[in-house]
Amino acid sequence: MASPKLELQREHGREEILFSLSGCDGKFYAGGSDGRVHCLNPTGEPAPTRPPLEGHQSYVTGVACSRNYLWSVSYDGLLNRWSVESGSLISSQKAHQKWIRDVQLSPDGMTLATAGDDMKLRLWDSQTGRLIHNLEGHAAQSPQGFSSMLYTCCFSPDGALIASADRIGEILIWEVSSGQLLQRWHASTMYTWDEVQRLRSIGGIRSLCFSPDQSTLAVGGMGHVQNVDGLGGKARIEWFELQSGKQVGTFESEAHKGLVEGLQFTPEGSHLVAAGGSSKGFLILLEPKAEKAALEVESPMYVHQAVFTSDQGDLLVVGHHKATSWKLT
Amino acid sequence: MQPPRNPPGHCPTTEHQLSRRLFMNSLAVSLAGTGGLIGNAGAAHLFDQEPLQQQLKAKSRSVILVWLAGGASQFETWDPKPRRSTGGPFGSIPSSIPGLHVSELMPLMARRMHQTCLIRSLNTKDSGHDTASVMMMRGRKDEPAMRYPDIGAILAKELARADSAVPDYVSFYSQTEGRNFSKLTPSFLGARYAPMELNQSLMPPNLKKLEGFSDLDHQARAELQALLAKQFAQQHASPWVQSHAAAYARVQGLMSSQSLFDLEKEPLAIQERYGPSQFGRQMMMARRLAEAGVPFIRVGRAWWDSHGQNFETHQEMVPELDRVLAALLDDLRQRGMLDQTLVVVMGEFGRTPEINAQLGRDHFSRAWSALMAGCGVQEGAVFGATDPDGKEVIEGEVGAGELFATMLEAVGISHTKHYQFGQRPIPLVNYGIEPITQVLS
Repeated sequence: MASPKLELQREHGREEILFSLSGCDGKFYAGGSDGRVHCLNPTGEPAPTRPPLEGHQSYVTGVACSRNYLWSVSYDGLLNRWSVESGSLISSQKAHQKWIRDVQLSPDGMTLATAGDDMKLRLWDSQTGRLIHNLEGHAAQSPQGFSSMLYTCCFSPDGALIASADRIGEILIWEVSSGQLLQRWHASTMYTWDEVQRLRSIGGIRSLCFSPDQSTLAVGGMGHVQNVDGLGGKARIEWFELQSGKQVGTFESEAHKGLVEGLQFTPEGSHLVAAGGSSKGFLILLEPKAEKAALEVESPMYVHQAVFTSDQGDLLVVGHHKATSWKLT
Repeated sequence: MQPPRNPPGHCPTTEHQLSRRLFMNSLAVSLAGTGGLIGNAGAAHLFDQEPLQQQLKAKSRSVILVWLAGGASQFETWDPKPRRSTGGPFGSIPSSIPGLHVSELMPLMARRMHQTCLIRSLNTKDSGHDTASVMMMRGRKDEPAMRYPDIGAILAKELARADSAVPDYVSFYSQTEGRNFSKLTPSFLGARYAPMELNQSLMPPNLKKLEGFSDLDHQARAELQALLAKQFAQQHASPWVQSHAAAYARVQGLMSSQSLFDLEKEPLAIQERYGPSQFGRQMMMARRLAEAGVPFIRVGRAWWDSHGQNFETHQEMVPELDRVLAALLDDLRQRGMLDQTLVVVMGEFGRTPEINAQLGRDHFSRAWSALMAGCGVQEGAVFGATDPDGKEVIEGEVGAGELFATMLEAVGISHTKHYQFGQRPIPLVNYGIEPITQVLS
C-alpha cells in the first residue's frame, strides 16, 4: 500500500455525545448520551426513516447488530434487544448491577458478550437472551481500594476466545465454549495512580483487537499521566502475543494525547486503526506490531468509536457532539 | 435515642454542657470496646495529666470543615439533574427528606439527609482555585492593606479555652495539589490561632517522648521546670515570662495527649465504619480532636478537579466521601456530640453543567452546593434551588460571605462582632452580609 491518506468527508453536529456504533444492513446505530440509539447513514447524517430508539435511562455505551436484532447496553445496567426491521423494543433485562461499558457479538453472531462495572463479563445466547456464562476474574477494587471498572471486551476472529480488560490494566483471556480463564496479562502503564498530588487514578484499557491471524492482541489506552485532572498521557497501544502472553510491542503517539477508545483492522487487514482523544480527537493508522504510526490525523471531536462502512476505506466516526465520515486511500 | 436538640438559638453554652462525670462515663463506655484503654498505662496517663483533664472537662463547641479541594461536582453529589443534557450519566435516589434526591453515588448520606442542612444556591463568583479557596476560607476577598483571618483562626479564638492543652486549630491536607491555595492564616489575630497543619502524619511531629525516657522521668522534669519557672516568674514578672510559661504548658499538654492522636485506641467497629482510607482515618481523628475540645478542624480531601473523566473521578471518590461523612455523622450523634459540633462540607466551587470533550467538568462558581449538619443548624433543611439544568440559581442565592456568617452564627458567634486592629474596627464579615437565618436552628 502506498502512503495512506485519511481525509475528512462530512461532519455533522449532534446535540448528544455519541459513545458507540455498529453497522447493520447499510444502516449504522449509535448510542447516545441522551439514552437513545440513533440511526445514521454511512455519511453520519441521521437516517430519516428511523426515529431514535428509546429504552434506556442513561448513556448508551454499546451497540451490536446481528441480522435480526440490534442490542444496546447502557450505564443503566440494561441489555435491550430491538427489532432491526421495525425498531421496536423486543426485550429489556437487567444484565449487570453496575454500569455496562461494552457489548460485542461473536463472529458467528450466536453469542453476545457484555462487560460491566460489577467486574463481570457475561456471555449470552444472542437468539434467546439466555445467560450462558458469568465470568468473574477481574478485581472488584483497585490496589488502592477504590472501585475498579471493566471497560471492554473483544472476540477472537474464530470466536473461540474472548478478551476483557479493566481499569487497572489487567487483560483476561477466556475460552468462550467453557468459560474457562486461560490467561491473565497486565499492561500496568495504562493505569496511573497519583498517590502524592491528587490521591486518585485515571486511565484503564479502553479497547482491544485481535489480529486477523489471531497471533496477537492489541490493547489500547493511555500512557502514564503526569496530571490526572485530564487525559494528558500519550495515546498508547501495546501488543501481546497470544501464545506466550508476552508483550511484544508498544506504540506511544508523539502527536496525540488521550485514551485509545477504539481499535479495529482495516477491511483488508493491512492496518490497525486507533481512535480516541483528549481535548482533541485523533485517528491513527498503524501497521500490525509496528511501533511507529503510518498516519496520524486530528479529528474535529473526541472520538468514541469508528467503524468501516465499506470495503473501500469509508469510515464512520462518532464522538463528542459530532458524527463524521472519512475516506482512507 | 437521639439526644435532645438545642432550643432555638445556638449551641449549648457552658452551663448546658455535660457534667464531667457524664462525659467521662460516655468516653469510658466508648473506649471500653478497644479492649481496655481505661486501665492501660497510656490511658491512665491521658486522664491523669492536668491539662488534658481540664480539657476533657470542658465540652466545647467545635467545627469540622470537610474541604473538598479542587471542587467536587454538585451534579454528582448534592444537586443531581438526571436525564438532563447537563446531568451526566448518574441517576438520583430519594433521600430521607421527602422530595429530596441526591446522587445515586451517595446511598449512605441519602439515608441521613434528614440530619443535615443542604444549601443548593451558592453563587460565589470566583472560579480560580487559589482566589476562590482564600475567599471561601475567609468569607470575603482581602483588601490591599488587610489580610483577613480565616474561619478556622476566628473560631479558634472565639471557641478555644484560654488554658487549653490541645491545639485550637488543626488542618489535615496530605496531598500536595492545592494544599497552599487556601493560605490559611490567623492574620492579625496572631500566631496563637494559626493552624497546626498535619500534612504528613496523623500525629504532630516529635510528640512522642524519647526512647528510654519514662513517664516518671517526664513528670519529674516537668515539676522541676515548673518550680524553676515559678521562681523565675516571681523575680521577673512580665507578660513575656507568662507567655513562655503558657507556651511550655501547651507543649506539655500536647505531649500528654499522645493517646489522643492514636487511632488504634478507637474500637474496631468505629475504625471499620470510617474505613481504611487516609480520608477516613483523618475524619476519625477529627472527631477525636473535636471530642477533646479542639474548636476547629479542617480535613482536606484532595483533589476533585475533574477536567477529564469527571464521572469516573466521582465514581471513584464519591463513595469514599459518602462512607466517611455517614460515619462521622453517626459517630457524632451516637456520642451526643452533634449538638456541639458543626460539620460543614464544601470546596472552593462546584463544576460546570457543560460536559467537555474529555467527559470532564470545569470550574463553576455560579450555582453549586454546600452541606452543613449539627451545631446550630436545622435538621432536614434544604435551602435554595438551581434551574433544571443546574446552570443558574433560581431561589435563595447566597455567596461566600453569607455562608461564612452562617457558620459563625451556628456556633454562637455574632456575625456583627468586630475585632480591633490598631485604630480600625474589623467586622468578622463585611458590612451588609447576613447569615442564612432560614437554616439556623
